[in-house]
Amino acid sequence: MTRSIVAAARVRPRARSGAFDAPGPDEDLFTLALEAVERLPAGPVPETVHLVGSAAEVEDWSIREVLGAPTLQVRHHAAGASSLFAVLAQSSPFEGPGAEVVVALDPLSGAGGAGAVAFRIAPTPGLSLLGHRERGHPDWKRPDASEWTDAGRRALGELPESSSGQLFLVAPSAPPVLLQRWAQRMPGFPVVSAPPSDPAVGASPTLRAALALRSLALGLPNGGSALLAVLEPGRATSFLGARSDAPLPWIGAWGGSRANPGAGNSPGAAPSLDGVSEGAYLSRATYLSELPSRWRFGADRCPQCHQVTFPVRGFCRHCGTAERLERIELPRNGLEILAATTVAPGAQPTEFDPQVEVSGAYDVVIAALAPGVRVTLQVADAPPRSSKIGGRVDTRLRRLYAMEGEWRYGLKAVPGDAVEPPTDRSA
Amino acid sequence: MTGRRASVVGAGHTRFGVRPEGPRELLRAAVDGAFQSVDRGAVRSDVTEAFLGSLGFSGWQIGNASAVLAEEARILGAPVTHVENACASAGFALRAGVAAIESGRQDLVLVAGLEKMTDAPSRRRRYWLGVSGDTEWERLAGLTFAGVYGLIASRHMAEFGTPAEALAQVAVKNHANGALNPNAQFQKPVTREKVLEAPRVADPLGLLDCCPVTDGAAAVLLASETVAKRFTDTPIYVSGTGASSDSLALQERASLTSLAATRRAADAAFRQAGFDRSAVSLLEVHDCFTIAELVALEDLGFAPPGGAARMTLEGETRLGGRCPVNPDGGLKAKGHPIGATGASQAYEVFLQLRGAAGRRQVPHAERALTHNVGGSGASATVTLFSVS
Repeated sequence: MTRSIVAAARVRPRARSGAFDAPGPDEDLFTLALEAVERLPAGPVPETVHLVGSAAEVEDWSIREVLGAPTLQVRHHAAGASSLFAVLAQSSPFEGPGAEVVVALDPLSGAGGAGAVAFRIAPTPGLSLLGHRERGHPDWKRPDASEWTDAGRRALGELPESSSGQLFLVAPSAPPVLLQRWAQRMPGFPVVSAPPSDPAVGASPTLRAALALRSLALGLPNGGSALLAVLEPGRATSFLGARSDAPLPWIGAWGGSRANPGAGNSPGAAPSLDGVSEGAYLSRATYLSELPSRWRFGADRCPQCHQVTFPVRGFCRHCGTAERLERIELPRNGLEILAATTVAPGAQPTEFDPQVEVSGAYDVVIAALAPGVRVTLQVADAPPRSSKIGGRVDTRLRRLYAMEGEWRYGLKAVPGDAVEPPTDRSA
Repeated sequence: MTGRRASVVGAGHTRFGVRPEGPRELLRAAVDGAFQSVDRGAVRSDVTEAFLGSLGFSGWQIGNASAVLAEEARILGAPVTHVENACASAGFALRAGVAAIESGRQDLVLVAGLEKMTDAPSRRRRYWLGVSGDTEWERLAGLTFAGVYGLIASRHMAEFGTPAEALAQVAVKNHANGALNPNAQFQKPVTREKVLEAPRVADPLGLLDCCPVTDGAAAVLLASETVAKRFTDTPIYVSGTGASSDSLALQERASLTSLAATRRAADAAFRQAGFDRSAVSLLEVHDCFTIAELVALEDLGFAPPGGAARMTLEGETRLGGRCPVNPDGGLKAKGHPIGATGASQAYEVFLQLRGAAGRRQVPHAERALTHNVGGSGASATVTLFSVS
């Protein structure tokens, strides 16, 4: 069975920086990657998550913890289209029974935009990945079309030489003459106007390749095949051959709410608090020990009185039973708001000063997780004063605050899903 | 408990507000005031135990602050215990002092409360303002106490239809009272419009719904019934004390609009006192935010759930009303030096029940209640006082 993409989900960050998508003050590669994975339709917990372009910013343990999958393999891969294609279309046949997830990320550097695209890979019909090739460093001044097209054909090794298909060309700044000559050399593969480059992703090669692939996966007619080629000045040209064996579900694109105009994290290290922590302080060990409740709403159900204790304390808060507690995870979406306030600038704990400087006031709510079980959540992706008692919120893992040079993460409330309508399936 | 009842025989209080004095000077002034107020005098060496309520705000003396009280009170050698229950520190210190007397172990006990808050830079102040909430689930969701009480207020308004005007009226009434108290931080009345239009801090709470950051200290001298009359002909007796605890985080409590710790503490105090609520002449309640006074009146049993707004709007809680609340201006106008507040409330009751409260005197005051809350309700004390 060939490897197929069976679902693709795109997540855009919430803010803008100039012309590009930029992470909001509480987003980073970890939260974007995670949200993209969680946006995939429900399926088996993956055995492996490949992160393409993640550099070292996303720690393996944190992905395992937040997905509740302690044996999950996390693999990191270099940024770029060729790296992404190589991971997607590994030459070896599909190995295990579980699915893999590949997440393309932008490293949030330079003029590149930001975002994440997650692909679920499974040995079932979808967009079959036929093979990949790359050709190094084309000289844009001396376009050698034959060498290039040969490489492309080889990428489609499993396709009959005569079969027709589409040539999906992602070549943001290639000279028109070059494109014409490539089109001539690939008669069976009429050039589909390369998907318009998404200004939001800027010069990010990884994201651009992933978005083109997502467009291809969603737009290719059943039974059709295509060659996706990504050309970029000064980089390898990357090819991926694919065939549609089953249509992919439309699952929307999320984010881009621009709730924090002008917001944006400086890439890299967490800001450090001035001097030594004083007053309220959580050690890293304490923070880690709270993660099951903090990240997944882990709770204990008592075998004696059947009450739920949240956050997890190691005993039933209602009757004191400490044995045979059943670990459950409370729902993370559609939570009812029970109480709401808006914290004005100046009323925030100092840990939130950097955030308030960027994005001002924020809401905090108490929401119901279950009858009699509540949680206090900061609200993200919504303007202040928009949280109303009786309303519903979903949750997303986001940066909470920085302590001792590292970010601490936790679930925040976000407005209920606003999935873009499927009028623009290539978005 | 006959013969072992505790009584207040002296009380001292600094001016509250932004004070030039440092923490030691404030503490010394309050303790000196307490000794000077004893009608027939008391000597330092008669004090055989002391308790200090203080949060240790801004980190001035987080550990071993008890020794500072021993030094400044000039009672070196007497055992001194530092009690920390956030904003209820002095309320619990008072309770410990009362217990030391009721147990028969001591005959004269000093209880003091202290906080020096305004001399730290604003960033350090804000760092400390939320240290008594649930660090993991409240503070690090972005809440200080204004935010936590904002949540309580939002729910109270949604559940009971409590109008913003009722919150504002608490501030109006307490500022009016504060204007009669020479020790108060704010001695100027405010209008309801001013309160409603003040900049927001944590919706639905605005700046004038919040108590200020305050420097100050207060102290009381507690004597056993056996020796009280040696110091004064008019000791003020502690008729009952109650105290209780609850979950640290609001999210884990039974109710978002009621503090169970207050309810339990009040019930225990009235059980011990043997008189009921109708016998109480005045209340000193913990109004760190305007909503807190409404919730307190309901939890203490002076208004039904949701009923404190009407009581307040109809003027029952003002001076001259049926049930005067916070005649000294409360935390709202008098100021709230965190660890001193419980002792400051006892000071006010000492004056009121001896008819020495001047322009803010509640006529014919014979019994009074003080109510001191730690944080958003993780701890609470209720103490009942009587002239006989």
